[in-house]
Amino acid sequence: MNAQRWGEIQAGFDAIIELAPADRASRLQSLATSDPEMHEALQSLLRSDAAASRELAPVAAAIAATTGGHSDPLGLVGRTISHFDLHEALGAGGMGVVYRAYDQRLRRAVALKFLLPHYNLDASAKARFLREAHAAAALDHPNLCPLYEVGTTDEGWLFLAMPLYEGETLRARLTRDGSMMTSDALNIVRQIAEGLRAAHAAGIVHRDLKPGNVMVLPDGTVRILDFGLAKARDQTVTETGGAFGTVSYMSPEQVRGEKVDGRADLWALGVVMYEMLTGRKPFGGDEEFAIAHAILHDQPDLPTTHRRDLPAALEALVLRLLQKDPAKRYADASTLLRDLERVGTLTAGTIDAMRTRWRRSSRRIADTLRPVSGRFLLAITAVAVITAAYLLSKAALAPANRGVAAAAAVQRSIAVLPFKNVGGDPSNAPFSDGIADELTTALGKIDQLNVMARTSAFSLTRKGLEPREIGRQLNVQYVLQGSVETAANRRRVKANLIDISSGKEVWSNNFENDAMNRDVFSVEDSITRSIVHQLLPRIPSAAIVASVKHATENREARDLYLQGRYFFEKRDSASFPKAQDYFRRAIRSDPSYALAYAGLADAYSHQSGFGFALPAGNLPKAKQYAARALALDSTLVEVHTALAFIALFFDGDRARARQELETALRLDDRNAPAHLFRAWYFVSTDSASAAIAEGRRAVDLDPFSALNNTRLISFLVLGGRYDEALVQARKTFERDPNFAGLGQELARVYTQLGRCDEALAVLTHTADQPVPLLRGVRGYTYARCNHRAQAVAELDHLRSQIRDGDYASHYSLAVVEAGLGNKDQALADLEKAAVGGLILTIELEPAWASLHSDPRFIALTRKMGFPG
Amino acid sequence: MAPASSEVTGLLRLWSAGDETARDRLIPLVYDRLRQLAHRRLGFAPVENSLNTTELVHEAYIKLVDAPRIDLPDRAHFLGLASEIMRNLLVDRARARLAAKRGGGLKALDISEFDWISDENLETVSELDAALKRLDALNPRQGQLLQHRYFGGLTLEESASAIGLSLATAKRDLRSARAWLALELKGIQLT
Repeated sequence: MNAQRWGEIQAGFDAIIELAPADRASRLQSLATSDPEMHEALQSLLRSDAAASRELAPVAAAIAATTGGHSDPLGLVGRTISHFDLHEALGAGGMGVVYRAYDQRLRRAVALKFLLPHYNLDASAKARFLREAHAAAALDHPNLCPLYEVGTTDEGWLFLAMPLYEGETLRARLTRDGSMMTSDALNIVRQIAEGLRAAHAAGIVHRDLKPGNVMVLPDGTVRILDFGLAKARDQTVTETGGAFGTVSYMSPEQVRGEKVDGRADLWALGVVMYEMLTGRKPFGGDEEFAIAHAILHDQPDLPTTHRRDLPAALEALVLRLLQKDPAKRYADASTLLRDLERVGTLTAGTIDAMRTRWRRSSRRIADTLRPVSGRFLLAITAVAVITAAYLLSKAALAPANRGVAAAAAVQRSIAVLPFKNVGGDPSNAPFSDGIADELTTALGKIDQLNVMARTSAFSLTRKGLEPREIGRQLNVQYVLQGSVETAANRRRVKANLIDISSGKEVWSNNFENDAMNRDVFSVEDSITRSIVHQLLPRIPSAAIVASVKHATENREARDLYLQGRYFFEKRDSASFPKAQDYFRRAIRSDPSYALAYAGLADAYSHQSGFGFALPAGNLPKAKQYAARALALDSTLVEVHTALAFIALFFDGDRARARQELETALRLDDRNAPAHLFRAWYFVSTDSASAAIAEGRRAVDLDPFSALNNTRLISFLVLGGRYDEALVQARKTFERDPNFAGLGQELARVYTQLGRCDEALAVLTHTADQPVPLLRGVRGYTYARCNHRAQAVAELDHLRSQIRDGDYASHYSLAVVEAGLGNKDQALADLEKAAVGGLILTIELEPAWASLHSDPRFIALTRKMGFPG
Repeated sequence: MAPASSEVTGLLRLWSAGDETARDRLIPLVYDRLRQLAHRRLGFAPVENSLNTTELVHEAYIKLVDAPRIDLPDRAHFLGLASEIMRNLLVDRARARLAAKRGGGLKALDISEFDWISDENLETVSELDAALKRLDALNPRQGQLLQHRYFGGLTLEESASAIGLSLATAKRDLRSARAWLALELKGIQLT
């Protein structure tokens, strides 16, 4: 055949193909006699035309696949399966082959995904898979790919019909562009997290999240594909023994073949995010086993080593997702989303800040992104602790050299003063306090060292006393003090140790931190270690470093926690909400930060315990956060004291309270709050002397804490030791006259001693800021001191509060009624108070003296577990 | 050194305007870029990351041409040219590999050069190439259409534009060409 002949045939073909099928036949018929050769050629071509699509598709696919890409491995192009015409293979992956197809019924283009033959499942596995697939399909969410239907070919292959999306997979995009802009990456991560949240909420785990399973549509919408498919794989993988897909995105628990939950998807999202931000995978290797090994055992490079401009908060978020222990990752996609939102704001803030001409505001934002405490602070702490420990141990040996007996056993004592905030920026105050706090905690963990509790050291410093005088008052041998100075991008921390007996500085050092260089933390860690080796060759460095408890690796979370503590310790009405806010933000920054959960639990339970909020609203929260703290870290004293407080004051569960306090004190028997709460436990068991002993212990451990001193007054009153109570009350009142509730305690002591003039005088002078729970004590004083009108006014006030649903307790009412001699009313109120839980003071409160013989009172004491 | 996109764009314009020397100068640039792109893929896991021939051709366009500044016909010209280069790359490879397999004693292959091409479908490449050569002799336009379709993944519109045909003509040509090719590949000769 030549070109001319082909031209003729082609013209004939073009003419006949235009005709309707019936006309084609008659035209061919007429050619059969007039031009038999042409007739034969056209007949062949027409037949070929009918089959061309089907026959040539594999050729196209084969050519395309020559460079390793798409092909038609199942040989389905051109076929019609069910009501779908298969047009071309779009891609192949570990799970199956995707074809572009046309749905004849609904007249739309669809994507059909055929599960590879080795996914052919037995009947029950297939049923399970279908159930899962349908559950996933039922999810109507903009970030999930819907499933139109599931079917089976004649060969028994499963296929899934899905929308055919224009766009590209995240894999294609990453392959093309490498890393992407932070804002683009965050946008994609956020949408994936939204999709995961919806799916996880329905109990569906993806198990195979990876860039190839994420579609990015032209309008920027992200759709997650293949939800639930990996389960089918997992069900067959053991049979065939093959490894499918890529191991790169598998979580450690998946690699180990353990049970997985939604947090495995969060891990995978972390890997994807790492890849989007840095252009590389966090766990590399040439072979699957090498990648798997890295996933199980290696820490990924910090994202900032590959991309220096990443905000610290963003880096922390990625690393949180890549925690090997699922419990240390975000608890769920919702938590992640909250953090993403925050990081997104910060990131946008940085960009805005760079655009603005105001350097000051830019610096402030930079500071928010790189709060200095965390590891930097810990590094300083470690250095200071080690140095102090060294000097103290040397000091301990010195007397022995002079021949003084038993010197080695001498307990050394030290107080850490709050670090001065040079420059006076008030926003630095929690930070400078925080360093001292860290040092106190860390030094406290070293044996042979008595460390004065921070509140005492702090309160004396705030009074403006000289370090040496403070040391004398606290009766310690050494004082550690220091300062923090922030200028431009540098933060300088100075620390020195003072020997109280000589007044001399025995050690000092400066630590400087370039706030702009985030690698400084690892550098400082190594400095810490080298100092350990220099100074303490006899003590293994690990032991010292371990004594610095890394409750969180997240600097920002640590900062926020310290600010929360700062407000919590004020224990007044305005400070509780602030403390709650800071603890909550600390948790948002590090969702697995146990200490912050414990702090938040305390901030809620104490707010109610002091009468600043109704227990109905606060208690469930306090319990929830305490439980979370316990789940995260059961070795924290703070967790157990928080649980004990709730058990004793709200649940009336003495056994549980005792148990929690025992645990707390086993962890740290020098924890003042634990002793204070144990005193209350003894009050509830009618053991006044034990309560007083515990109260004294708390005061000894933290002698200048207004709280401890005030509570000791209560214990002495409950024990009937009014003279001692008066001494204690006067001493405390002299030092901290404004501490919440102290005036009411002092007035009560005077009342019990029959010194009404003084009692009333105290009440007149301390009318401000009463602690709501102590209002009853106030009314009681009026009642007993013949100021019945004021007592009744207090009663009316309390009753109106109860009517209005504000916080007020029947317990307080009972105290006032008892003082007025209204036994029946007092008992009625006590009975109501008992509904709310345990009346801790049922046996010890002197106000109940006039009620003791009443059968209703005896019934109440029985109810509280006493013989009556 | 990668050529500046303006250079490729400029050459493409000249070629569209009828300067055939511009086409000759374009070929090595496109050839290098195609191989470069294919090699870059190789650094990753094979299945998920490799591009098929169509994707490679289109990606070469994205990488080489200053897209916003170019008209659709110029784009089609580029893709058409890239299809031809892709075909040559694959056919050269196929010929060499198949000869080596048959023990034809041809010169040793530069393996690294061609590693991104799999052996699996080289028979098909070779057969298709031979068939298209025969079609070229019968009707070069149709030969080009099929080349664009199979080696470059061009759409009918792009193909029509590259060759300078109306869409209707291109459609007609393609249909008979496909019917012819389907017969040809089954070894059925028209007379």
